[in-house]
Amino acid sequence: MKLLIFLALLGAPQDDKKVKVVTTLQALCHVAQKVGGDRVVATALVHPRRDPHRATADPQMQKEAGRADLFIELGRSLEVWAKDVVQNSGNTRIQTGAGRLFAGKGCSVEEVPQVLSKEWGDIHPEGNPHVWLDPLNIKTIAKNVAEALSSVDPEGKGTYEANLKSFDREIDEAMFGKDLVESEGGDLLWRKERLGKLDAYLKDEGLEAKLGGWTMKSRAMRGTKVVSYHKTFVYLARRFGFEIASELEEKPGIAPPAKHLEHVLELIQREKVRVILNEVYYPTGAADYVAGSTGAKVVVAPVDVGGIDGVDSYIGTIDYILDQMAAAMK
Amino acid sequence: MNLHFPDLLFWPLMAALVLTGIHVYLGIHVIGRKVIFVDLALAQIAALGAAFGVLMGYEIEHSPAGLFLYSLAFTVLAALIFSITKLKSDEIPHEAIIGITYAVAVATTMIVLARSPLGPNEFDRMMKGELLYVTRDKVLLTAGIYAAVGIFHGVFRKQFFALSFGNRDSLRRPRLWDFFFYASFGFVVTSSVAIAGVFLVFCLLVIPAVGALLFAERTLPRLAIGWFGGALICLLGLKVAWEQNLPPSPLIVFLFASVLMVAALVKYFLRASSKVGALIRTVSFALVFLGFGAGVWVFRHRGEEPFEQALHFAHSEDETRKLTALNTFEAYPERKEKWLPHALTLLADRAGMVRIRALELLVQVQEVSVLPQMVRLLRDPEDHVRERCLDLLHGLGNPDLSKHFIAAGDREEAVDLRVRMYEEALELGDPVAVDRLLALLENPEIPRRRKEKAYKGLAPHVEFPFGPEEVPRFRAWWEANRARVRWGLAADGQNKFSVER
Repeated sequence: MKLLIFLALLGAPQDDKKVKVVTTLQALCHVAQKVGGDRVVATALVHPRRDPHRATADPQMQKEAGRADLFIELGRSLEVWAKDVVQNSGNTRIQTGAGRLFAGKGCSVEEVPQVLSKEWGDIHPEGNPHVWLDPLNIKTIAKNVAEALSSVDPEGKGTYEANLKSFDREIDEAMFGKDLVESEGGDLLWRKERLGKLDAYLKDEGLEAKLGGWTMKSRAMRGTKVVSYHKTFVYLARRFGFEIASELEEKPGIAPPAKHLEHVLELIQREKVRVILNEVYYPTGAADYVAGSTGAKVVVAPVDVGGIDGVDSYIGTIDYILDQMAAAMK
Repeated sequence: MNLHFPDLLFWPLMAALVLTGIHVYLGIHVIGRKVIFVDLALAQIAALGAAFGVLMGYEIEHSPAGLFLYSLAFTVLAALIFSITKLKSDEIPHEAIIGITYAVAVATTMIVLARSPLGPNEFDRMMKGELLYVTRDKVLLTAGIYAAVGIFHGVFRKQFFALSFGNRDSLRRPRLWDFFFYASFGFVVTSSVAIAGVFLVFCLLVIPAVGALLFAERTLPRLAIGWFGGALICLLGLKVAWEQNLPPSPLIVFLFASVLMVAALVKYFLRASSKVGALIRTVSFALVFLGFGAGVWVFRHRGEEPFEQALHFAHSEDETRKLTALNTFEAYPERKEKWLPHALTLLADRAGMVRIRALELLVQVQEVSVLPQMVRLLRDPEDHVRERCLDLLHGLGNPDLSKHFIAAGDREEAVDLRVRMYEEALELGDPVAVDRLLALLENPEIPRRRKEKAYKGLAPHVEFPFGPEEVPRFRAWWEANRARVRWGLAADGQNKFSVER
């Protein structure tokens, strides 16, 4: 026993020297650990099978935040409870400035309110917050995290930049396939992709055979229509070219009303929808109900990293969703 | 509203009717015993049982039977507690113990669910129920359970009515019968809460019974009023929920309350000795309510005028708000003078997507006076902004742009973009673009595919025909004729540099 305590004490100082990062989402924790490497120990506050909209501040969260050197949240009004955690943590380092990062800044946003009007109050003013499901945005998030880590731990700057580079490379290769990234470089491919010119570019340059990764995998689902429970997968849909024809919810955050489900049923039949994406943390009752009478398949999809047991990385999460969707469409 | 009743609502309606059947009956007992909140307490205990089941590893999707048994076991235990805590003296009312049990059950449910990732959603589900998604099998099973409870109560009606209405002491073992009552009650509540949610079950139990109490004294007429009224309200509630897209359980609760109020008013008039006095009192009450409602509306928050708000948004911290501001500017072309300076600020915003959106807006309204600010994005730090800027400016066809394309191309790191920038300048008839493209073709560091691109861009726009491998020949021609070339339409319909004759 004494030996154990001794060993624990021996181990402790090393951990103490590390930069302690506390994040809201597991995805942010995953990125922080990837970018931080050995210099950082990262913890996430929200269980990956819990709806981040609806988590509430609890004492454990405050304790974690109290020890943090850097607190990372996504922002965009996703984790409204995070403010309470930070303010009541008694930790001055993470209140403002370098110690607190809103990692979603600079991410490309969907569902930006179009034109302000008198009825504007109904709309989510900061756009759809589930930005991390777009691989392009996870790169932006990683960049933001690397910058924040460099400013709380300037000595590690070189490490963070190097780790960011290899994380970027991993994502690029997962997105476009190793061959294509080696030949063209990730930056150019992403530039073409985000401007909607990737297909034309590949064709023009005779590179189509080199395409791999998620882009290749998702080609079969281009233009297909799916239904989701909540507006969670708009970024995934945008990036991989499928269309979310409807949500089971009529209004975000409110359980699906019956009349609306009848519309969805009709739509599923009319548009031959094959897949209903049901976020892992929402009940599948409504999805099963509409699927049962139409033959569409319900895919229970993770939203955060770790939302499905054994799927513990960002790349694994996107892989999982795309594979499940492809299987359901067969 | 049409009278058609949607097919999808058939089983939800059946469920509501089955629920009404047993709850109105039990409600009359509950009111008689003055243990109004026993249902809430038992319902919550049932929920707690299910939550414990989840904690013990049963999953909602896969093992509903296991969870049901957990629920039931907890409810029976609570029935035992309620039957032994009914004290002889009235010093501590039974209702207090039931209330405490309710609060403790809610609190414990929260504690238990705090360890479950799906906790908050489960809690929500227990409150609201899933009346809409009820299946045929579930309704039939529930009806079966209720029928069994109904028969049990029918057989022992003497004992149960004695317990609830008066001569409890005539029974031989009142506590045992108390237990049977609460336990059978628990059976009902365990299954009904899962369907209709805690609050609808509570209302089904109490409101029809109270309504019936207003108009009848004997049990059978009371049951009839409760059943008939309850069924009607459930039908109406489901129909309205469907038409108006509202959650059915809470809506039915609301309708029950409204109908009860009307019923109470009717009763009040029937009983009042002076009908005029009653009317005056009713009207003055109504006025107070109306005044209250008017006050709520008068003090509503009035928003800013949209355009003014957009001007504020342009200077927000959040990128999305800035995008919204730009979107709004677009809808007010007549106020361009006012928003132009704000749009220019956003053209230099730190977020790339904001810069692009600002440029799109300025290009769309053809604001040539700010061209110098627009071309800055050709040298933007983000490559996708530069490419988008190139695409947008391409449409303008303004000859002043060529020197900017050249300058931006000279600094451009991405070779494909550099080629495109020179091509843009070339298409505007700038001979410097030929110099630059030629230099690219001669540069050994430029990859072959980019050279092909540059060649394809250059060759159609010069009079001298040369193949991709004949760059030196073209160089010689260009050196000899550069001072004499003129940009203009050639015989093949292309704009070209040709030697003046």
